[in-house]
Amino acid sequence: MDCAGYNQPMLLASNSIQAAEVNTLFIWVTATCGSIFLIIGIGVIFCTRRFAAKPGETEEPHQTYGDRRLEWIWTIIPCLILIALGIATVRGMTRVLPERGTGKPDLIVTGHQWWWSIEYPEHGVITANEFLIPVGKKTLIDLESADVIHSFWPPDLCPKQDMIPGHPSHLWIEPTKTGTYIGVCAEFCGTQHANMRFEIRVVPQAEFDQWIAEQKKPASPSTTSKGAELFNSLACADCHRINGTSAAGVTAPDLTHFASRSRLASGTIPNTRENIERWLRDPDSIKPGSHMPDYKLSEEDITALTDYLSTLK
Amino acid sequence: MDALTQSPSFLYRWTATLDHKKIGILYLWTSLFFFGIGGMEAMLIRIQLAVPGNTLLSPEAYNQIFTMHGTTMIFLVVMPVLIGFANYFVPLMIGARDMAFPRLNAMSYWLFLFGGLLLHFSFFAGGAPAAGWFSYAPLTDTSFSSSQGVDYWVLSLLVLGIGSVSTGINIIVTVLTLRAEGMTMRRLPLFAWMFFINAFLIVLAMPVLNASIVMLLIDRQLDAHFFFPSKGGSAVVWQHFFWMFGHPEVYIMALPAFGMISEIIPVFSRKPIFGYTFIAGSTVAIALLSFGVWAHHMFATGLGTSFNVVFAFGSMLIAIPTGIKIFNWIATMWGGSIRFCTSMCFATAFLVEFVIGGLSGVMFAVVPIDWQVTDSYFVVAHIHYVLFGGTLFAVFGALYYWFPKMSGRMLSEKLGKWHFWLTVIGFNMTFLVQHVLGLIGMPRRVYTYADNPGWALLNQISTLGAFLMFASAIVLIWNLFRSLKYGKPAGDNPWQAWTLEWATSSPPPPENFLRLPPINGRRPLWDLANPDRPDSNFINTGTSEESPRLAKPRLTAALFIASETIFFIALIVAFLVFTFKKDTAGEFAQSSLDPMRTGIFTAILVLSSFTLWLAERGMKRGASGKGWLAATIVLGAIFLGGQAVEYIGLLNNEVTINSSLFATSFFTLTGFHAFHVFLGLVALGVCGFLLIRKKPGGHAALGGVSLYWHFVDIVWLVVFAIVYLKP
Repeated sequence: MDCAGYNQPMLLASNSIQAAEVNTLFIWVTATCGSIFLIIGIGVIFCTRRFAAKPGETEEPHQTYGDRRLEWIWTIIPCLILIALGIATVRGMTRVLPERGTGKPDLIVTGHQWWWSIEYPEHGVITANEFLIPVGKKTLIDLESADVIHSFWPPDLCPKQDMIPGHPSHLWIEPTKTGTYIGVCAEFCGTQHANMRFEIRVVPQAEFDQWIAEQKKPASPSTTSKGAELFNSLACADCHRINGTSAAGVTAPDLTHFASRSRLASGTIPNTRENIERWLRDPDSIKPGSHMPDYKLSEEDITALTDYLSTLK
Repeated sequence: MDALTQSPSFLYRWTATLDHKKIGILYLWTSLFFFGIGGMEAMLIRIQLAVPGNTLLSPEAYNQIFTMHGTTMIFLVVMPVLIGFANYFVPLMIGARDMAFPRLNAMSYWLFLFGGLLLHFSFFAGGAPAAGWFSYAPLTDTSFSSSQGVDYWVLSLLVLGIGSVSTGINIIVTVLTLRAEGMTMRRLPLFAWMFFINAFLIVLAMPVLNASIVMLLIDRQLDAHFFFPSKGGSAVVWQHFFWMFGHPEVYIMALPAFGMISEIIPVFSRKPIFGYTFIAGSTVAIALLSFGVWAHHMFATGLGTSFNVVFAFGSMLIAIPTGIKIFNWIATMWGGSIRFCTSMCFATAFLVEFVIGGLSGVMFAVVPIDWQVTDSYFVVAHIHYVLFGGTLFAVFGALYYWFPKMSGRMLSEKLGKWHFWLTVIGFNMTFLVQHVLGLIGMPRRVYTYADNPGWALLNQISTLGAFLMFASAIVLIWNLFRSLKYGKPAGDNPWQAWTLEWATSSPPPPENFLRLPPINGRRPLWDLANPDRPDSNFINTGTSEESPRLAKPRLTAALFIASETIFFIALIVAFLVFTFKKDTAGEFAQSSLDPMRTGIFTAILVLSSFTLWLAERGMKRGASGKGWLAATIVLGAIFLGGQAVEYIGLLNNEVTINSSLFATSFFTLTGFHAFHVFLGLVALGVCGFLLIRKKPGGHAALGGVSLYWHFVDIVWLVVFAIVYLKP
């Protein structure tokens, strides 16, 4: 599986207000815990060297039973450290994930086995697996699930929140750097949990507006192509939606602008002609257990469908 | 007992044994067997993850394997190995002859073996469970988990749970009723004390799991509505219930390990434990707090800021009593004359590894950090540092420490050192890098991963470490078998230790002690060997007369009742949660109930408690009381009859367990109550039989059973009020 073109998740990347806040907190907490560890580790190693029995030693050392004062000291000091951590925690929580409020969401992301549907309610745009958000703007994302528990996690942009059916949650992202960021599903959701990735592109507002305008347009391929006919006769339309045609299924990814995506099968392989054909020929060879049926298509039909799908820009 | 121990048949001696020492050894061997299976599963996982896009395991196979790895290691390895050591050594440490209930003890072991085999049978019955070891709903719904794996998971955990609770009750009763003279509660060796407190955790936490998985089974098999949102239930409630058990469970796996460390470090440092009272007291604090931090497993589920803050606070608080222990253990080593036998090596390494695991745990309590690293390899690293680097290292330490006592032979120190270094290097190589993997975005429970920079290399280092651990396990097993045959004879007290198990032969005779030394402090053998400076000159452990031994039957019944109370509380909470979710089908179900008629049957049940009281009062005055006892049974049976009539009426009205949320929780709650009434009737009948035939123990048994019967009636009053009268 190659990943050309992605910003790889980097340790302590801080491409958004939320990620930066967590990373600062992380550095401080690690430094604190690391220091505590060093003190204890050095104490242990010191004991092993300084108090090792000399060979042939038979005399019992001086017996000590306890020390009240020491107990107080090593109870109070950790308490103080934890109070500091506690304050930092509460501050961090309110900064990273404030309450949702009653506003309308900018995005609604729904987890499915094993792909993501994304809706921009204000613009009436629906897409799948890859989407854009504008840089420098605070975006509210509502999270839901269509089946089992999933978890929305773009580590470079913000920490995760679980998507639990019947129990909606939310996230705020305010990106500070443009770029392409991968996300993964972080709650075990069945067979293909490992291959449920998404891609967020953070772009300037103008580019975002342009993309939204494109996404709003219905697909305008030739409806008399063989591929289009097959799409309807083979029941692809029962699961997949293509805006502007009669295909209106919602149980599988929206394909209206399929050809503009960089990857297939929820981030699993690059979106090339060859890979589309591989997918149509035998979905299980790429994503075993996925809900895409194997229609045992003939090579002709595969080519026709691929031609059609490639026009859906 | 004598006929059994002298029987020439090896098989008979071991399968029919009621001796806590043999039962302990059975637990240890069986958990070693499951450790092998869980370990092979771990090796498969690590080999599959060595390269991205690996095809060794299909996703279906991988998902079963990681689920079974977690379930096996927790329920079939860690818990039983700790229980095995407790079985062997708690009675010895308190100077007792055996556990309070030897037959119950044996049953617990065989339930463990059976439960473990039942779980693994799933491999042959269409597939092992594949929803993770905590089986989140709704993935566990039959529509998403169509094989019977999850059902096997539920049934085997129920079987195992009964065994664990029985052991918990057994340990508590043993410690409270069978201590030798002079062995007061304040003088208990810390392993005995820690396991005693741990037993309360077991008795009170396992019923929450039992209630949860019973509800899951009803959901799956009877199409009920508890946890599946598509039918109106709540997936979040499953998480709350599961972690209410799950968090105390991790302390159930940690406290006995702390006890082992508290035995090993003093002996090999040649000093008493530093700060006994604080270690003992902090254990109680941990046990109490462990019930208040469960939702830290749910920080990323959107429970709201205030909720998260409360649980973050509790989770940080619980670090304090644990930290206190670490400092006390180091203070014990300080100024000592430390012998670094393999046992002490593992105990020392424990200090470092457990602190790493504990500190990464504190990091998780900082909620925004949790939001980034939960469900990633960072948490996989954390759990293995506390469970392997912590508990299992302590178990290895205990093995080298106590093997001579159990077998009469020493384990090879040379092989022990090989085992130790291979384990330490292998373990840290495997799991230290996983912290980094989590921080660079690798989620957990994935059968493969993308070829991101650094991921393959880190995974390979982790896999290499796993091979070292595999080698260390081979060395351990080799050491065990070789030493059993050729190990140096150990004698009574090869470590010159001080607690009572060392005051007898290795292994001890069937009755444990030919003669007990005088017990005037925490280290009887130290006092014996050092009459010029006994512990009592320096530390006050109270008088030998305090800590009375309690009466067995009522204590046992009280513990059982405590456990069942938790079970019912869980079902009642589920009922309350779900009745507040209004749905019309539920309202119809509710209106089909007849509070007046049920009220009459309630009165009959309360009357049966009265007649039972009359029976006991009569017996105390010398009368037979059997008439009143018979009346109790009849009244109880009439109550059940009334319940049956009600059920039939509801079923005829088409109100079944899967009609609505209300019906689901109604039938579950009242059904389990009826089951308890039925069991009570059986128990009362058995008491009646014992009394009629004038068998010994009849009166004592009735004393316990009557407490249970009154409890069942009180539960019914609560259920009646909530279910029938509330609206």
